[in-house]
This record gives sequence, C-alpha cells and structure tokens, in this order.
Amino acid sequence: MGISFALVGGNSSLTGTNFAEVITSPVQGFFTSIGNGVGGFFEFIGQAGNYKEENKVLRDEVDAKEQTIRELESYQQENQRLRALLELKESYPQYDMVGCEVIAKEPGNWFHVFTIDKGKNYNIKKDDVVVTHKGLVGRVSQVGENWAKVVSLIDTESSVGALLPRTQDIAIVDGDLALSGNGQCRLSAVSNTSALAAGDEVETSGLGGVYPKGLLIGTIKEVINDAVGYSSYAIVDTAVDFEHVREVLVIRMPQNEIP
Amino acid sequence: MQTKQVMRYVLTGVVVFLLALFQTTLIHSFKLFGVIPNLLLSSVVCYSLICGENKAMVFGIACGLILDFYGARAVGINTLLCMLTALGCILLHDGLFSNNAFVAMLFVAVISVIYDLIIFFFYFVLWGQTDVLYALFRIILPGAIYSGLVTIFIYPLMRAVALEWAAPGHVKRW
Repeated sequence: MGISFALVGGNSSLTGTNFAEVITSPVQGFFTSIGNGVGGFFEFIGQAGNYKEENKVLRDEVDAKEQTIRELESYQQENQRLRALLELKESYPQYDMVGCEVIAKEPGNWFHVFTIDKGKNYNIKKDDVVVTHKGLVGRVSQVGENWAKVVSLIDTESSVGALLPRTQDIAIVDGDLALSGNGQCRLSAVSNTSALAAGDEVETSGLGGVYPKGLLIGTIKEVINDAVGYSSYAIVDTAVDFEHVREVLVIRMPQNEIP
Repeated sequence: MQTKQVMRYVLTGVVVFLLALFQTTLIHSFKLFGVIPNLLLSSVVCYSLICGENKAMVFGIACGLILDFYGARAVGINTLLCMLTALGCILLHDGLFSNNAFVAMLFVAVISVIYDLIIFFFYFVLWGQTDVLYALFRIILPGAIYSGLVTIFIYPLMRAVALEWAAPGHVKRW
C-alpha cells in the first residue's frame, strides 16, 4: 500500500507505466528467454539439413588434417632416422658407407635375415658390415644385382668378436634361438676371472677381420655363471631394435674387395 | 592349350607371387605371439586338397622354391618339404570324405608342426641348439595355430584358383 501511494503521489501517467513495468518486466524477461530458446530450437530444426552438411564437411576436413599430421609425423621420424644415419656416416669418415632400405624379411619364424635394396650395383660385397645409428646390425650374407641379404646379429648363424670397454675383456657374441625372440644374444667365451656386470657396454673387438672395431653391439642384461663356477656367459640386449629396422648403412669393407 | 587354361595358369602364378610378396613384407606387421603364419605352406595344402592332381606337385615345388629363395639358408629344404606336403595331400585327396575349409585348417596346422619340426632338427638340433621346449612352445605350435587360422582366408582363394581342376562334387563350399 505504501508503495502504491508513493507511485500515485507523483506524475500519474509515468507512475502507471512504471508500475506496469515493475510488475511485468520480470515475467516478460522470463517469457522472452523461453521464447528465445524455443525460437533457437525451431531455427535449429529448420537448418538441421545445413548443419548436417556442414558437419560432414568439417569432419572431412578434420580427417584430412589428421591424415596430414600422421604423414608429417612419419616424415619427421624418417627425417630423424636419416639424420642420425648421416651423423653416423660423418663420424666414421674412414669407412666407405652406403645407405640402404630394408625391403623384405625372412618368410619364416626361425631366422633373422632381411633383404636390402642395394647390391652389386652399389658395390656391396659378401661380409660387408651393416649398421644403424644405434649400433651393429649384422653382415651381408648374399648379394644380388640390386639386393643383398643381411644376417642379423641375433641370428643363430651370427658370431661376432666382442670387447667390453670397461673390463677390456675379449669375448664372442653369438645368436641364440631362445634369446633371439627378445632381440637378445649371448656373450660367451668370457674368462671366469672377468668382472662382468649388468649394464656393461659390448662393442665389436675388430678381431677376426670381419667387423671393424668399436661398433656398439649392446649392453649386458644379465650375467649367468654355470653351476661349477668355471665359466660364465651373459645375455646381451642388442642396441638395435631388429623388429623395426628400416634404414641401414652398409660399410663397404676394403678387405672384401675382389682383387 | 586353350586360352582359358593359360589364363588359369597365369592367375595361379599371380596369386602365388602376391602371397610371396605378402609373406616377406606385410605379414611381419601381423605378428601374433612373436610368430607369423606360413601363407605359402597353407596355399600348398589347400591347393593340393582341392586339386588333387600332379599340378599340385608343381604348385608345391614353386612355393617351396620361393620360400627357399627368400629364405636365409641353402636352397632345397623348403622345396622338398612343400613338394612332399603336396604329395601327401594329393594322396589323401581321394580318401577324404569331406574337403572344406575346416579340414584344410586342420591339415595346415598338423603339417605345419611336422614341417617346422624338420626345419628345427636340420638347422638347429644338428648344430647343437637343442632348446626343444622353446622351439615347440614359442615357434612351432603358435606358428601352426596361426597358419591354420589364416587358412580360412587362403582356402577360398585357392578354391577360386584350382576349382576348375578339382574332381566334380569333391569340393564343398565350406
């Protein structure tokens, strides 16, 4: 009542309008917001066909962009691998190296041999050494005109003279059927007085004349002593991941040149 | 020789070539439990069971040679084993009361075990690597099961290639 009197007390028409607005504005606001919502809904329904089309276009764009990103990531990885191989090539200027790509793998489950895309046409010879930026891969076992087969370090046919830089021990790294599945090989012919330990790096010794000295083979995972204690051998985690070797460098060894 | 028959030989060659390509490249991306299936051995078994003729021997020798050429060791053992596989399947061809994909799967699995045992003996046991349990449970049996399973895809393929040479009514749809 107090409010009514106060309103009536001033300019009457203005007061009446003010009164009406005061009373109705919250309700108007409520209804307008509902109306906007309902209007927006009907507008959405009306344009649903357009949204569907736009959505499809946007999805296609996203798919295309994701595909581009995947390709770029693949190129980036390839670039990193090739850069690492180039650095390796530059760090061994004394060796004549040629870059090759792995094109095929052994068709069975027993052996670890793969085929590369260069052969006699790039002067690759039998027993040339194959490496990646991570370490030793193996050696060339057969050469064709434009292909060569590489026996991996983990294949049972492989045997490499090894050196342990920490202890200066000389040993032999052989492929082993049971270890090859895990990308490992066996380090044997180690003196029982040797202080081998897990984590020791294993390199090529250069003895035997096939492999040059100082190429990383891997690291010792575990040292196993026989029951009597006269001899021991070690399991070596190879530096190279043989499941994912794609690019390699072949060192064209001078001693393999045909005289 | 009729053109149709020549085309059939060409088709057979193309299929074998594609299988060989797949066996040495893409199949390595489908490793299961560290093993890959032997598609060529599977195709030799299927072809021989369906065809049942001397053509299957030639097919077996061709597939064996491919395995040997792409393989790591001396040429010969895969050729011999694939030829013997084909011969065995030809001999069994007439005795089978039912010739379908499931029979082929079973055959491939069993023959794969024998095949790999022979490889293991000649390339490992004779050279002092006698880890029989590892070979059996990590390579031979998983490989045989996987080869048997992929035969479900190889059998229809070989059926399409060799059905014309099969005895009427001998090969069932599945």
